[in-house]
Formats: sequence, structure tokens, C-alpha cells
Amino acid sequence: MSLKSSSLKQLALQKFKKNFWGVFSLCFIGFVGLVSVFAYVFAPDNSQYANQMHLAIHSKRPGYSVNMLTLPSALETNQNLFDKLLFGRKNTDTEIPISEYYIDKETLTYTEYASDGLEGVKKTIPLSRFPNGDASQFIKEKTFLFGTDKYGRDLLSRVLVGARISFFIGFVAVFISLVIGVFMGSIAGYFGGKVDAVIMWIINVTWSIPTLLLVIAITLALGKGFWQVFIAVGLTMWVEVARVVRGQIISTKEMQYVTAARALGFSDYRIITKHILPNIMAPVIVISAANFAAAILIESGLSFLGIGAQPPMASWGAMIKDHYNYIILGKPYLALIPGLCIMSLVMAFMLVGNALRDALDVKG
Amino acid sequence: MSYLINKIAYAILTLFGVVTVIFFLFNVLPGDPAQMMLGQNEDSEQLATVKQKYGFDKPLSTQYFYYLNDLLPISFHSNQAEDYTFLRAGKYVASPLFTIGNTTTVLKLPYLRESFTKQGKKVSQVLGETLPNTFVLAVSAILIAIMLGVILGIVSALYKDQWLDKSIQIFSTLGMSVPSFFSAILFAWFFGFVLHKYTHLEMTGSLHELDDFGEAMHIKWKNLILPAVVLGIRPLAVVIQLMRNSLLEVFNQDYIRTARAKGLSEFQIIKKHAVKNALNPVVTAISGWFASMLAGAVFVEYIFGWNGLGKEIVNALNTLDLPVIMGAVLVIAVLFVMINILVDLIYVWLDPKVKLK
Repeated sequence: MSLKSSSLKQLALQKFKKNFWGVFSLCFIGFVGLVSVFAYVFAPDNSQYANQMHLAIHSKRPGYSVNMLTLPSALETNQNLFDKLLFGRKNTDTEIPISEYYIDKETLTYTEYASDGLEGVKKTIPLSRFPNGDASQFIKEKTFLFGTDKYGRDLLSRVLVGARISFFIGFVAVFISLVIGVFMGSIAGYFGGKVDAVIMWIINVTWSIPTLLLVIAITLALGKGFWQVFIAVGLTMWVEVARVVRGQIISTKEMQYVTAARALGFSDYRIITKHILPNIMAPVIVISAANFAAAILIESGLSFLGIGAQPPMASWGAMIKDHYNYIILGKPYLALIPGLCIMSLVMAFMLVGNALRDALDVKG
Repeated sequence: MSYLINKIAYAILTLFGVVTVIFFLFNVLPGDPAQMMLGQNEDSEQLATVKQKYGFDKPLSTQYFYYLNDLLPISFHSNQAEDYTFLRAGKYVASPLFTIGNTTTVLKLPYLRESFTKQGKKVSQVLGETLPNTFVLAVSAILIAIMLGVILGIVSALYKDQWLDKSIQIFSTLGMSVPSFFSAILFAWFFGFVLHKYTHLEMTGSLHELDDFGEAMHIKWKNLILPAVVLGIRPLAVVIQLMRNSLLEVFNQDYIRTARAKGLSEFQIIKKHAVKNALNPVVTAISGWFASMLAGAVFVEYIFGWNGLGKEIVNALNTLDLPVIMGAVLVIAVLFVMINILVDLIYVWLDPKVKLK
């Protein structure tokens, strides 16, 4: 084998691959990403937001199973497959947990499930409610791997669907922060002088307001909801990106290749985008990984306070908010599972960030 | 000296920006603030009175100047009783300086307006009651973080890449990844409920609690332990990392080699030469952390029922008590800016190499 000179990118990649925890975390993130995109495929409860409630069987332990009668919905749905996969099934059927049933010639008689030793209500319905009059197909034993939440929804499905918000807020917030941050940082660093002073002032002002409170203020101004949180988080995180980009550009500006580009008469735009930015991307990438983690933390916090994603949307933070009272009622897992999810995803992003920092040789 | 004056001037400019941002963020709200204050049972007459009293009937730019006027220590006030800026007794704590025509110029404490929901209680009073509690909490948390963090950071650096270092690293990364509300829930549950028999700690509780007879307020330091530890986790994690990395860097310096050559013991080297030089980045980081901890205390105070600024913010959020939120954000921003100036000074003291520019 002849010696090949590798580019900086290849060197960094080689270094990254050697970092076990970095690679492991990246795989984990990829896995969570896949789960969040295909959440409704994996989720046992594929109704929209995994919101199929069965109040009779609320807060059951993990692994709980019950016979479930499904009454087909009378409404026609004209949802295409793609929509169903991405956004969950709408117009869902009614599900009734039952303790016993028997089928006559014409009717189905069932006893509704009732917990705490209570007698369930007995009901009789005609078999004609079911397609082909075949009722037994609509009674299945349903197992709830993670148990059910306080509305009797499948916790596993909620956790899977909840991954989406955490994951996408990271993407959107990092994207917004990159667009604004790189732009502001570049012009501040490159042009200096008054432009720099004004941008630094904006940065300092944003910096002085604690992120959480600024996000709260922006969400109050824009209204509750998850898109607002996306934008609010992005609008607060650009500051760090801008500071780093500005600092880097100031030190790169005096490099000979920039002087050379200037001597060749290239436009400022071309010099910044083609010559400077590609050379200072490393710290920006590292900061983005940290921002990704920070965005997930902030979103979960906002949802915990009830100003993030609004019900019935599933979000890990909101799930903890709903269930942390159950922690002393002997059902701590209801709050622990979503909490551990947030923790592991945030930790994965931090470890990837650390691995990238080592691989790209950025001083932290 | 001129360095300090420059710093303070810039700080004031920054705070002006903060005030502007806060004012406009809270005034583009979709709802009508006068209606928010009165709740459901308002009539149009009351609505008009409230609007006039708080200046909501004026254009936004006028309201903005009123807001600035309320906040400035030196402000201008009309002599006409129906004007918003009239020096009403009990509204401002002010001493008049001089009067020109219809306007009086006064020296006063910044006026943060009145709470929407607490029957016109002054925001400054609300903050004055809660801020000390948060301050106690934040200072305890920072002390825990610095003391444990510096020690663990030194241990980590000394045993670099050995299992002790690796476990401390894992602990530190973990500490940075846990949302503070989640760690608060975990700690309250585990130490206040599961291990209650052994720890005798309560799940919730504030610094000042009524005694069993409901007569007098008592200070309960016991209640400080859990919230302070939880609030300290994240800064602790950061301090460990910073201390370890900066100590490793210091170990490569010439003066450490000289100290070793002199035959000083390892303990002496660390104590006398390494730690003080490695502390700089820690101090800088703490400055950034202190103010964000006042904000981060939101979750911790909420879960532990600690009567501080954070719990007040959550309450105000639920009742849409905007003046309280605005006041809280402003106070934290002022503290942040002041701490930054202070830290710059400490930095100079710690590291004479940093020149005063």
C-alpha cells in the first residue's frame, strides 16, 4: 500500500471512529431518529398522538394485559397510507377493555373491565355492528409493555411518539441558530467597526437574559404551542454560534489566503462563504451538537411547565408533568421512563459533541 | 478606573437593550392586559379606569417611555393628577429634585409596577420577599459545586485515564444531561420519601416554615439540603470538567516542572502552584452560571416548594401576571450584568497577566 495523504476531514473521521462512546452515541441518535420518524409504525397504539384512552385501565403496571374489544368506527376515513404512517390514524375505533364476553347467534354480551374489585357494566350489542358479523376477530388480548398512563393510554406508544418533538426541536432550533448565528457572526467579525459594535450589543443583550426566561417570554408573545417553542429556542441559541463564528473570523481574517483572495479582487461575500467559513466550521459543528442537547433540555422543561407542546400531543417533558405525582403512589416508572429517555438522548448528543471536539481538535 | 467606568457604561447600555426587548416581547401579547387583570367579571367602566390607570390606552411608544420612566432612577413626572406619570403618594419611593413648569424631576428607586393578580401588591415587594430565598439557595448550590467540583476535578486530573477519572467523567456527563426538574423529582422521591426514615428530610419545604402551632415562622435549614444539592448538580458537572482540563494544561507548564525539580511534594505542587492558576476558567464559568442558576431554580423551587423567585415565576406564568415576570427577568438580567463586572475584577486579581484594557 502506498502512503496516501488524507484530507483533514478524513483524519477527523478516523479519529472519531476510534472513539467508542462517540460512535455508540451516534448510532443511538440514529436509532432514536428512525424511531421518531416511524413512530406510528412501531407504536402498538398508532392513533394520532397515541391518544387512545381507556380510563378503566389507567396507570396499570408494565406488562399488563387485558382483553380488548374494538368497536369499528362508523366514520369513513380517507387517509392515505403515507399520512397514516407519518401522522397516525385519525377517526380511530372505540376500544373497550373487557373482563369477560360471550357470543350468541345475534349478539355479543360483554362485561366492561373494572378495577379494584368492582363489578363491570354488562352490555349487549348486535353482531351486525361488526363487518361480516364476526365479533371474535375484534376481541384481542392487548399487552401494555410499559403499562398505561393516567388516562389509560399505552405508555410505550406515547414514549415513541414523544421522541419526535425532542428530536425535531433539536433540528429546528439548531438550524435557526446556525442561519442567524453564522450570518451575524460573519458580518460582525469580517467588517468589524460599527457593524461589529451593534451586533455585539445585540449579543450581549440576549446573553444577559437567561435562556429559559427569554424562551418563556417569546412563547408568551407568540402563543403556546410547539412551533412557537421551536422558534423561541432557535432565537435564543444563535448567540453562542455568532460569538464563536465572530471570534474565528477575526483570527482568520488576517491569514494570508484571505489576503490573497482579496488581492484577486473577490467579493466580500465570496471570501466569507468560499474561503473563510469552510475553514472555521469545526467549532461551529461542536457547538451545534451542544445546542442540540440544550434544545432538548429546554423543550422538556417548557413542556414540564405546560407551555411547550400542548395536549394531546405526546412530549417527554409533559409526560413527566402528568405523572410525577404518581412517583409516591408506587408507580414511579410513569415519570422515570420519559425522564430516562430525555437523559439518554441528551447524553448521546453531549458525547457526540465531545467526540467531535476531540476529533476536530477544537479547544473547548 | 476608566476601565471600570467603561464597563459600567456598557452594562447600562446592555440593560437598556434588555428593558427594550422585555417591554416589546410582553406588549405584543395577543390578549388585552387590562382584561387579563380584571378576569372575567369586568364591566366597560372598570376596564376604562384600569386602562387609564396603567396607561394601556396610550400608543405603544408612549407606553414604552412610561415604562422607561418608571424604571429610571432619575425620572420626570407630571403635576396633573390624571396623567400616568403623576407622583401619586405610595406609588413611587421618590425624593423630588427640581420642578420646571409642569414636570418634576425626581430621584427614585426603580418602580417595577404592580402585580396584576395580588390586589395591586408592588412587584418590587413580591421580588423582595422571594429573591433572598433564591439567593440563599443559589449561593449554597454554587458553594457545593465549587468545593466538590474542584476536589473531584483535581482527583480526575491526577488519575487521568484511570478508572477513578473515568467514573468521575461519566458522573459529570450524566450531571449535564439530566433535566433539573427530573433530578429534583428523583431526589425528592428518593431522599425525601424512600429514605425518609433515615434522612428525615421532607419532599417539599421552604426556608421559612410555620411551626407546628402555626404561630411563628422558623428557619429550617434542613429544607435547604436537597434543593441546593439538586441545583448544584449541573454547575458541579461543569466545574469538574473545567478544573480537570485546565489542571492538565497547567501540569505541562514549566513552573510545575521547576517545582518538581525543587523536590516539592506533589501535594505542595498542587496546593501552591497548580490550583490557583487552574481556577481562572472556573471563575469565568461560574459567573455565567450564577445568573442562569437563578433562572434554573425555577424547576427546583417549583418541585421542592421553595418560596423563591423561581416558584413565583411559575405562579405568575399560570396566572399571566406579566409585571411579575417582567420584573423577575429584569432583576435577573441586572444581577447577571453586575456579576459579570465583579467577575472581571476577580479575574484580574487572580491572574495579573490579564491587562486592564
